[in-house]
Amino acid sequence: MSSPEVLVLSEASSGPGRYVGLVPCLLVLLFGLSTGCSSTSQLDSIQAQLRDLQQQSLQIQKQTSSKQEIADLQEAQAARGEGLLRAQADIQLEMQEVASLIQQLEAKLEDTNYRLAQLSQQIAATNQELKTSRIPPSLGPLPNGSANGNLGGGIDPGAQYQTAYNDYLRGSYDLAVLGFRQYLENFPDTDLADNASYWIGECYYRQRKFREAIREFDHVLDRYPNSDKLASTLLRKGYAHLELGNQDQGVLQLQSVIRLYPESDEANLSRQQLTSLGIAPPGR
Amino acid sequence: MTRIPSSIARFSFAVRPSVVRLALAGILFIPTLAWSQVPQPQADVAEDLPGNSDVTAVIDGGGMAQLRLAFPSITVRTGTAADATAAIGAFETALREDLEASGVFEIQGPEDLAVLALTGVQATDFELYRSLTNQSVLVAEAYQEEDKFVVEGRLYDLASQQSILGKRYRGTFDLSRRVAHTFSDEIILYFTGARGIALTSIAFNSDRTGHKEIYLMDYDGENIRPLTGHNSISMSPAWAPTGDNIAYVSFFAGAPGIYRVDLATGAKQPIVTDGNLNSSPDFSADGRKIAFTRSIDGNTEIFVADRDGSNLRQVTRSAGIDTNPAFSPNGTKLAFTSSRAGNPHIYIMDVEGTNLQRVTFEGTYNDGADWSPDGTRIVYATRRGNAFDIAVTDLALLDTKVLTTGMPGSHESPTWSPDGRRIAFSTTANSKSQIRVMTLDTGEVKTLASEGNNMSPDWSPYPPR
Repeated sequence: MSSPEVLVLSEASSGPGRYVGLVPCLLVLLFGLSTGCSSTSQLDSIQAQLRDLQQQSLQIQKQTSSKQEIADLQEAQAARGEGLLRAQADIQLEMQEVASLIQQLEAKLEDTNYRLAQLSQQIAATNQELKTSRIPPSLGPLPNGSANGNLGGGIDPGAQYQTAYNDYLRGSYDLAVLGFRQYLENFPDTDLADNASYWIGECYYRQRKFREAIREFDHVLDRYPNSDKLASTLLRKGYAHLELGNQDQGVLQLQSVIRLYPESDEANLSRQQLTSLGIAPPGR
Repeated sequence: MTRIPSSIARFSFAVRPSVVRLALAGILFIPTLAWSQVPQPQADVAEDLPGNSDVTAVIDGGGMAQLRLAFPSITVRTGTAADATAAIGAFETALREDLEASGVFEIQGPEDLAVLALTGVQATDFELYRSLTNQSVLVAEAYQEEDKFVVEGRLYDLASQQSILGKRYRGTFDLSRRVAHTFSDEIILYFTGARGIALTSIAFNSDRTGHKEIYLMDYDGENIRPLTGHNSISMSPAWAPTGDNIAYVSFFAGAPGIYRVDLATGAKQPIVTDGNLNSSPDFSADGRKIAFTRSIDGNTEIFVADRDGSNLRQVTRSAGIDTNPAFSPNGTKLAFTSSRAGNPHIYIMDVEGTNLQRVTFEGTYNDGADWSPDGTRIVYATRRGNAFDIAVTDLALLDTKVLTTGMPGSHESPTWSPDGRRIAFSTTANSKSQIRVMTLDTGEVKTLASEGNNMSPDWSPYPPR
């Protein structure tokens, strides 16, 4: 910032209109001088008055300059504010773009997961077929450990998962648990194995068998560390603990959801649940 | 999540193998034929006829196997007046249509049976019916009792010549179709173990008066009657699974609100009328809650409230549009449309908000999901190219099958029949919208209502028994 004086000078040269108020005073003075009665004391007095006037004029100049300064400051402030707003808008726009990019990526991920699941089921089915075709029909009953004849027809992993999941959707939770367990026995490594395990926990949860549910959710967490069901698993495990009255355990799980998957729907649900328990959810 | 191995993409309905049903001789019961909506009169007597054996008609599993049924003309006793004869004729027509439409039977009617030289002696005639490969015969006799008509119908197993089902109905002349539907449902129940849908109805939206109003019609498109007369825009009818209420959207008060009509009294109650742009209501399984779409701050989200509008709760929170919620039949899940992944797709989640899952991956625009009655599949409109088709997705493996491929027009708003064997939807072609019903086993399609534009069908649940 330049000093006020400099500003004043430049203003003074460019703005004579500011001193219009002084002109009549000076005129009166000059008129007084020219009309006689010019004793020394009078002259002194006039000089003193002139000094006063000069001082006042300086004062006024100063005031004017600080007013100007404020105006300038305001102008600068406004310009800066506008710049900030513009930057903020830019950031918001970028955020929106990022958000929609994330959504698009999520959609792509969903798509990929979907296709992966299809492939993995197909691979399981092919393996199943291979296994079956390797057993010569003349051998008769299958040897021990080969799921007592289950393999005979070559079970379709898709069909088995479907049956179990349909039972879950229908609300036949006992049947669904059996079906998913069978699926896990036959196909422990497909892309849907973690889902099968998760749904077993979910079935128990729906039946209010919370201890069994927690055991199953722990199984998902231990056995499938890369599962796409982990956020759901932690959340449900937390809910199950809360249902059992284990508030500390429950809260711990919900906090984990928020820490590990802060942007997930499960994290939002955890925040709501914690808030309703009167506990501040951990920050992002 | 395998892509349709055709062996598991089953859309046929599996007929329950061998359902043993003893027709309980002589037990008199009066079914509630009037179960919903305004005055639906009822047949005053329906009873089992005595003398039925416990012979069981067996339909082997395998879905499409149709039972071959001979159904000669109904015998009308002499002394029956003209109006009673007309009612009996209407009864017979409706019964034939119902049995035919069920897809359970391959029926030989009077024309097919005309080649037989029937003798009037039951044992001989039954052998003749059997000679045309029929497995069963439906024999009925009708007569007049004062201002009512009476029908006695009996099903016989032709191999054993035993009566397997016998029913007597009595009703006023105007009830002929309804009595036929009742009898048809009994016959279907006997053979398949699942109730027929001849007594169900379809709510829909029509502009036939110049205003969009909500209407009801029987499952076969007959007996169309208005439910609203707001002289405004009323749309999106949704049955309560309890069968006693229909929710709908109306603009009659200005902003769109959600209302319900009590079918017993015809009384209309507001559910939610505050806020902006309320739309697409759907009742929960117990009829106590309602899910709907509301626009807040330009963003469309799904809310759930009690059916009196209290306990409002927001259940979706996404930057995209969330709309068209549908409760699953057991009430634990919601299906809805969301544009959170860019294009609108169908998602399902638990009513509590957990287990969100995208379930459609094909098509550029998927919308308007309705659950199959067993809760394992959804039907919805999917845009393929320039028009919408109807597609079914199995929720376990996300197998998808398009039902209307090659059918001209754009097809939307699908709704499942309560037996899961049919889907009603609206087809827009040549700027006219009509409601159609497809039988899933056969792919057969029938157009139901034709006056004005008819849209947004919603199939009723089974009437209470």
